[in-house]
Amino acid sequence: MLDIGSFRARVCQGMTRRAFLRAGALAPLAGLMPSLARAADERKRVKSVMLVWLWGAPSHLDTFDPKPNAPVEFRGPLSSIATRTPGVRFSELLPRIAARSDKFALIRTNKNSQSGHLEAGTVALTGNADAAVGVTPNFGSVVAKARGAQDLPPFIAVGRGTPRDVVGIMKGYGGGSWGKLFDPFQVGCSDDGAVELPSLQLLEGLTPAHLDDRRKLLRELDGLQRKADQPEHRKWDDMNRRAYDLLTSPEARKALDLTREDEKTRGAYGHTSFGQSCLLGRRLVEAGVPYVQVNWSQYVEPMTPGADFGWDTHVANFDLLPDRHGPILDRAFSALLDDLHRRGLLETTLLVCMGEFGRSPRINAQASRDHWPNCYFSIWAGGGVQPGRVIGESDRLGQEPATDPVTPGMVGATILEAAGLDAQARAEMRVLQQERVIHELF
Amino acid sequence: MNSSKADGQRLTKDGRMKMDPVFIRDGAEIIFSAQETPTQLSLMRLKLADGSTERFHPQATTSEFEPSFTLDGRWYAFVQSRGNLNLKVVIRDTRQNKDAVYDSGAGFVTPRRPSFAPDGSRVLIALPGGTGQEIIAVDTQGKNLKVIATGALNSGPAFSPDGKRIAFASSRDGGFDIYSMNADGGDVRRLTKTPGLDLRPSWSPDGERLAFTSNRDGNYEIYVMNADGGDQRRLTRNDERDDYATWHPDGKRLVFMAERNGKFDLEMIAVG
Repeated sequence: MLDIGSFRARVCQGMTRRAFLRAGALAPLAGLMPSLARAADERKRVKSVMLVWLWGAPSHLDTFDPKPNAPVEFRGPLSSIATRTPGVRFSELLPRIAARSDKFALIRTNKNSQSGHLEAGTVALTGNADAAVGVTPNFGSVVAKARGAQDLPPFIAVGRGTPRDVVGIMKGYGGGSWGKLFDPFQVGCSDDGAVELPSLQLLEGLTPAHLDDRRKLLRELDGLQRKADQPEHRKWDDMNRRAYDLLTSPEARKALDLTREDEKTRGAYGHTSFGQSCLLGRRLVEAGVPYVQVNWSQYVEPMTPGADFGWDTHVANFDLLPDRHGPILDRAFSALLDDLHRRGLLETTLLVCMGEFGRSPRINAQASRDHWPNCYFSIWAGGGVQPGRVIGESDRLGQEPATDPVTPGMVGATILEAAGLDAQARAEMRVLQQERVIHELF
Repeated sequence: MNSSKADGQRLTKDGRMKMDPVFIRDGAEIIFSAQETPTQLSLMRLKLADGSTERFHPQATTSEFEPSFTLDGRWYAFVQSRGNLNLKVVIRDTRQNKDAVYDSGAGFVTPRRPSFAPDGSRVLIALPGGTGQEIIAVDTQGKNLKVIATGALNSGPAFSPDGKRIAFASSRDGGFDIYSMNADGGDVRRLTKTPGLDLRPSWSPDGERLAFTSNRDGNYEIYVMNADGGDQRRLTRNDERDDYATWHPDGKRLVFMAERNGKFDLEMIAVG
């Protein structure tokens, strides 16, 4: 249902006018969890969580947990380099991140229960496997529900659509059994910084070009309002309405406009889809979005057209990583750390970077690496995390955690706790009730 | 990002990711791979006379990359994506306007980095195999496969201009280093021995020198050395990435992908 209302909006040209189409679908969010929002400890909670999601699963041995003393069939051809943290080494593909190891904590004992992308992705982002009772909501959906309606959508996913493979989409991408209302608002971002709102593609006659002309946009909206009873407009789903809401919010347009960044900053992230997406994520965090998930996009996957396999390097692992994945991640993530730190946003933001699992320590018959849920890494920064530390240790071949494993449920509980959802609040929401927070991070 | 050396001559300006430049038509044009859309790598043609860039295969609808040409330009090969994890090497005869395909099987096998023999007799390909990643040679029909290099990961093969030697990167001694071998795979010689990655060897037109990429000094830079591995010198000095070097036919200049303020363009520099 469309909730048609009106408000006074000041347009760019200094005019005021009454117009508009209110996205009523978000209104229920405001009242859903008021007690939980209050229950959150305002003094401790971060304003935002930013998850950098390395879909496809990066090799832990070739990135943040190299094994230089392992046999060659495990350690591979990549060398390790010293980091800023004494005694800690990363892959040679990540020199910039290695130089910033004092800005984050690294967990080397993450462990997933599932070995397929779709199932493991759901577990990694919800803390639970897909069950008969339905899919548990994404951590971002939980935060969105608790925080309620905002000027900006409370859960935004930046990337090229919902993470998927050739079989289908990863079910844990959004609201799950809570419904599409709690799905992330999808935003795309190309290597030149052009921002795409996929929802708009469903609205006939309205293109992103309209964003450049607010007066024209408002005329269009007036026209659409008059046609709101027409059958085709009743088909609009929640995402369409949220897109409209976003379009008419000056704050949102400002946050989504990467041209407001100077060239030096944009360049620091790298003019890749992932790099500019990380920059967009920082802008959204800065604008107050409670949960931003930046997905590694299919930009780096020319070998897998039509599917977003990201870091799923069953083949050509040692071609792709030095050519593309390594340099792109190294530049973008190090710039993100610098940028968040420089702006003081690490004080109010929890930054997490991980995939759904790791990759096989033993190199496969295709001279690459396969899935490995038993041991992988995650990176944590800001939000009170004590930086410059490695938590947990994998065994000498990187096959299993040598110390207590960190489960996706623990990851989720820690994220939610940082976002202000303590054990009581999580119990009220019936999410991750039995999971322990990774206190070693703080 | 600071450059400690004057930049070279910038040949492209769009900033999109680029790879694999090679000269054709006696240096009048460069063919390279570019990230044309988020999901497609395309072969592009740069005309040096006017700086214009256009698609090399205007009708291509899938990713194509890593081109290699014969000296006379009759033949060329490139990698073409034909589905998920399904790469083929296309071998094109421009005189007969016919394609042959090297097909290593469906799915999860990825032939990469074709390199044509100067006389057009064979194409080298890096191919995952039982011993790691091998270098194989096939004829212009994609048949009569012969294994040239085995053991460890071998990549980036490049025929010398006279066709007698092959330079390549290999991890046979640990990390990736540059090696050379006879065209039949014999007489393997290690040319670099430094820590870090040494990749993508490219022969000078006179066969006396090799350009290559190395991160031995912390990030990807272009180096040159004699064909026997002697006199290794760093040519580029930038905080950002310099990669994918190829020689101009005059033997006095190199073109490479230069990352500057996060953008990727082709640059040309003189080689002393």
